[in-house]
Amino acid sequence: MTQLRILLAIARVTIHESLRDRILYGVLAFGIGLILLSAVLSNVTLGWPVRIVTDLSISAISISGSVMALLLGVRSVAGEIERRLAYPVLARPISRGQYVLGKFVGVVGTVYLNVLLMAVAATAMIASYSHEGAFQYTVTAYLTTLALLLLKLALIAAIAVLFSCFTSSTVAFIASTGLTLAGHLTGELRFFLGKSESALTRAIGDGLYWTLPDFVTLEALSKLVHEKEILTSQTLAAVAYGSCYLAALLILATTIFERRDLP
Amino acid sequence: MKPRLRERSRSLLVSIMDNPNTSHRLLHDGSTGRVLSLLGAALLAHLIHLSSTVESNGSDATPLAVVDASVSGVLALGHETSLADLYWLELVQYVGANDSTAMQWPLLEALAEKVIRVDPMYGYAYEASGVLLAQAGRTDSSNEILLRGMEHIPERWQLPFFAAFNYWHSMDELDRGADLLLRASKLPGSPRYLASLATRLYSSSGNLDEGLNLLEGALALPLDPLMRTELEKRREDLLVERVLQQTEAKISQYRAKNERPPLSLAELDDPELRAILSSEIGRTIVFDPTLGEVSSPLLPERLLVYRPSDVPEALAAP
Repeated sequence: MTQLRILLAIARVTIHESLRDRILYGVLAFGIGLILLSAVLSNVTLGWPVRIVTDLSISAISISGSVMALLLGVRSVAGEIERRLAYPVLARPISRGQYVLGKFVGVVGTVYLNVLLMAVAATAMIASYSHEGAFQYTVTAYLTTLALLLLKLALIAAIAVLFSCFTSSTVAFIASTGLTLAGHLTGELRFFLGKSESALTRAIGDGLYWTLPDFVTLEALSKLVHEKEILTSQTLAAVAYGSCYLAALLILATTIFERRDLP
Repeated sequence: MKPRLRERSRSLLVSIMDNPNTSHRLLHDGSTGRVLSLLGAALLAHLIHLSSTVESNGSDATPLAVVDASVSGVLALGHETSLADLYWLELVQYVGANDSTAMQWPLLEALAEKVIRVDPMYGYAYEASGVLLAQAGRTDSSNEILLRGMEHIPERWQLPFFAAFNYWHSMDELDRGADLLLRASKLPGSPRYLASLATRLYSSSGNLDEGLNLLEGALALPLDPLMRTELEKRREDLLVERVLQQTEAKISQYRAKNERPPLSLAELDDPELRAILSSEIGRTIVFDPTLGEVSSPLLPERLLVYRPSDVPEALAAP
């Protein structure tokens, strides 16, 4: 219980620090701006404006949330060490694992707070463009899409925190951005490397496909806008995949940070 | 750049950087005015450039390049549907800003291809592009895109419907149009008149037997009760229409031989016709000797459709 309290205390401090970060508000403004822009764009389309609003609004949340998770994640541990703010905390009876987990929860909490604001704006926008006053999508499908998006953002934050545990914040930002981009392209990587005549290259393609985080698995927006059924079994499988991968990343991050010699 | 000029630029830059009052001076020694003037001139030049581009292209909405959709699809990074929306907006603006009769929308196929390559499930893009291409007179392209849409979204009834319209109205292939209409009529959400229209097309094409076979095939599949009733009614109509057409054929033969219509159907004295008229449907056939026409109360309106090819040239739309 005490350990959980410590973890939450670190998370709370991280949220307070993150909320003072001006760049966060810049990204939030970008996200909300894109959601508002979707309303303007939907007025110049032909046919189905609610699709444009939904697509652009959810994508705005996804892009802004990902940028926030990366920026806050890489600075959570590496930034604290670079500014020597981590040492007084680690000098207390707090394990390094608790510190890393607390930082992760703080980053995810901050991202989720911002996502909540954007989600409220997006939902209001979608509702106002839905036909005949009724919300365009089923509540289950809409909430499932948002829930999977939240899991994806947590995974991105975990990647950023992982790199932040053993490199500088700049290197961590480059590496975690690269891994996040690659995580959106696992299928394409496998496809293109699979075209090679070399068995080794094809094996690398397969290896990357199975080991890199597959963010497409955590994607339900296309089904939502095409009004296809989001199967419960698929959703559960996606949640299990994301949760397991997230847990693995956090364990790896804490293990690395516990063994690291701090300067 | 000559060494002397480079040296002078460098020393100027260093002096600006080293001097803490630089920004203050920039604001107060008239530099602000010069910067704003230059920015204004740049804006003016930009506007001139834009207007000249519009003049040379005929429209400001003409896309400069159609990038490979497969590449941009990869770069969408999980936001394919949003990228497809942006491409769709590009297509809409292109269509809206160009006169179809003058331009024939030469980039329409390429722009539609971008949308559907990035999001192959974008049903409305297939539908609207198909209609626009047909409007631009490119029926083959229209059918190609509509049939591709049917492969990706077989449950969208609008796609076979518009393809059927193309085959019927522009290509005078009533059989193919009827097949597609029948397919559309079986899809959820389709209007009930589609099955009726399909039977009319089959009738007008002269392929009643083919239509009946397809209807029998459709009725053998599991269907919703409303749709089953509708298709059974259409089968009944086709059966009546077949009897009417068979009787009319015999009357035409009689006319050709005797140069007058028969006074009654019994006068035709044809064993095949007698067998037809003795059937349940055949007994309902009514013959009008003054006009030489047959009808049935089971089919108040004959199953025929408007065919553009049948319209005399003088009456055809320009």
